[in-house]
Amino acid sequence: MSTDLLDSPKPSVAPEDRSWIRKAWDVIDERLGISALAYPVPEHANRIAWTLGGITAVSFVLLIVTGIVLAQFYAPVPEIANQSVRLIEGNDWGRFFRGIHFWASQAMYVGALLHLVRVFLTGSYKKPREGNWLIGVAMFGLLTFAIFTGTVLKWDQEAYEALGHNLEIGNLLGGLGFWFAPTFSGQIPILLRLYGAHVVIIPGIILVLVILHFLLVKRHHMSPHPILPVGEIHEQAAASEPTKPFTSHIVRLVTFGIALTGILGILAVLFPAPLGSSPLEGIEVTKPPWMFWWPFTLENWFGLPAIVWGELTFFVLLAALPFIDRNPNRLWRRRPVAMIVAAVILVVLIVLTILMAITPTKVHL
Amino acid sequence: MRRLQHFSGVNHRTGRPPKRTGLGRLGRLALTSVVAAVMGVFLVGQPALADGGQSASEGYVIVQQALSYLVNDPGKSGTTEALMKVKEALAAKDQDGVDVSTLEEAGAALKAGDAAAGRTLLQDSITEAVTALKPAIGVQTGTTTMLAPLPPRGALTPVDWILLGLSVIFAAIGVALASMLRPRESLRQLGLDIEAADARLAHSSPAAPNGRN
Repeated sequence: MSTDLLDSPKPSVAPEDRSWIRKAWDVIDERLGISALAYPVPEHANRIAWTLGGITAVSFVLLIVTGIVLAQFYAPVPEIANQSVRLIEGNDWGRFFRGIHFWASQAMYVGALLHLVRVFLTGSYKKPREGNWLIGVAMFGLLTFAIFTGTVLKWDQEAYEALGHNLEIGNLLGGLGFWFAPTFSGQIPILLRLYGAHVVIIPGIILVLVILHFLLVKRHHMSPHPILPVGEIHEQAAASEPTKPFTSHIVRLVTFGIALTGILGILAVLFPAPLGSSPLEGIEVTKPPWMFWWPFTLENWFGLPAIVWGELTFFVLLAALPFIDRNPNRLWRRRPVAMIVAAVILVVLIVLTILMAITPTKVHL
Repeated sequence: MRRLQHFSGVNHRTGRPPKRTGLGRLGRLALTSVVAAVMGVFLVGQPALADGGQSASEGYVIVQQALSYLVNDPGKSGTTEALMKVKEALAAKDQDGVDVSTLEEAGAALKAGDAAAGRTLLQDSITEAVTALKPAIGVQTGTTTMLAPLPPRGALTPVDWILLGLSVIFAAIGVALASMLRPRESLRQLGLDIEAADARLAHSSPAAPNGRN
C-alpha cells in the first residue's frame, strides 16, 4: 500500500488530471474511509520502544495465519492428537509453519512483556489511560492462557503435566475453577474444550480487546515521552512536537513485521518446535514452558497453592498499578517508589525463573 | 525564552494540588471487591485431587509409566525408574489386560540392560488392555502406544534450505527498511526542536507554554 496515497492530502489538480491509481484510490477511500488512519502521531512514537505493542500485534497476526494452517492438519482427539502433530512435523512445510507458530508465541509474549515494561517506565498508564492499561493487562493474562492451552494441545507429557497442574489449580479455586473440573462436560475430552478455547475463545477475546486498545490509543492519543516537553495538558505531547501520520507508523511497523517474520522463519528451520512423548498420568518428568518457571519455583517451595497466589498477586498488582501509583510524574527519576518496587519484583521473578532452570524436575501431583 | 515548567502534580493555574478523582475511589472499591470475591471462592474451594481422571494404580497404566521413563530418559536412571514401575505393576491388584509373563520378560530384559527389548516387551504386555480402551473422555490421555519424544532435527532438506534462504532475505529486507525509515533525529534533538518551536511561539504570542513530565 502506498503511504503517499494515504498520507497526502487531496491533490489540488483537476479531477480529470489525476492518475488512474489516484482515482481508484479515491473511489475506494470514499467508501471505506481508509485515509482516516492518517491521523497525526507525535514523532517520538516512531521509535522502536514505542512500536513494541505493534510488534506484539504483528506476532499475533502471524500466530493467526500459521494457526489457521495448522488447524487443517491437527486432530484435537486424545488418541491421535500427538500423532497428528508428528505428521505435521514429518512434512517440511508443516514443520516450518508449526515452528513459526511456536516461535511467534514466544515473540508475542516477549513483545507484550517489553511493551508492558515500556509503558510502565514512561508512565503511560497514568491518567487518562488507566482503562487502556487494564485492557493491556487483560490481554497479557489471555496471552498467558493461550500459551498454556497451546502447550496442552500438542498432547505430550509436558502438555499433560501442565494440564494436571491446572486441574489441581481449578480444584483449589473451587467455583472459579469449574471449567477445569473433570466433571464439567465430563463426556467431552478436555483437550477438545481447550482446543476450542485456543482457536476461538482466547484469540476472539484478544481481538476484541486489541481493537479497543487501538481505539483508546487514538482517543487518548499517544502518551507523551517523559523526557520531552509536554503540552499544556500534561497528559499529551506538546503541540509543537512534529507529527507523522499514523499510516507512516504502520509502514514502519510493517518493516519490523517483515524482519520479525524472517527471524522467526530462521528459528523455525534451525530450531523446530519440540514434541515430547505420549502423555501419561501419574508421573512428572518435564518442566513447563519458561514463562511459567517462576510460579513453579514457588510450587517447589510452598506447594501447589503458591502458583495460584503468585500469579494472582502478580496480575492484581499489575491491574491495581494505576490506582496505587498516584504520582503524576512520568519520568522514572521522579518516581522512586514505583521504580524500586518494580525493580524488586523484577529481580524476584528473574531469580525464581533461574532457580527453576537449574532445579531438577520434581513430582508435585 | 520562557523557562519550561516542571510538572510537580500541582495545578499551574490555581496553585492547588489536583483534586482526587472518583476513579481512584472506584479503583480501590473494585480492587477490594475482587479480593473479597477471590477470598470467598477460596473459602468454598475443594481440596485438590491427585487423580488425573484415569486411575494411576491400574496395572497397564503403571506399565505405560515404565515405558514413559524409558523413552524420556534413555540413560541408566530411566531404566532404574522403569524397573521400579515394572515391579509395581507386577504387584498391582488390578492387572486386567496385562500379560504378566511378558511383563516379567520385560523386567528381565531391563535388568540385563537391554532397554530396546524391554520397551518392546512392555508395550506387548499391555496390548489387550489398550485394545479394550474406550474413546477418551474428560482428562483421560487416550494413550495406547508410548511414542518417544521427537528427536532433534537432522540435516536440512532442500525445502528447509529454500525456507531458510527466504527467511534470511525477509529478515535482511525488514531490517534494511526499518533502518531506512527510522527517525533521523535523536530524542535529545527532538526535545531541543520542540523547545525552540515553543520559544518562537511564546515570542509571537503570550499563550501558555508547554511543560515537562
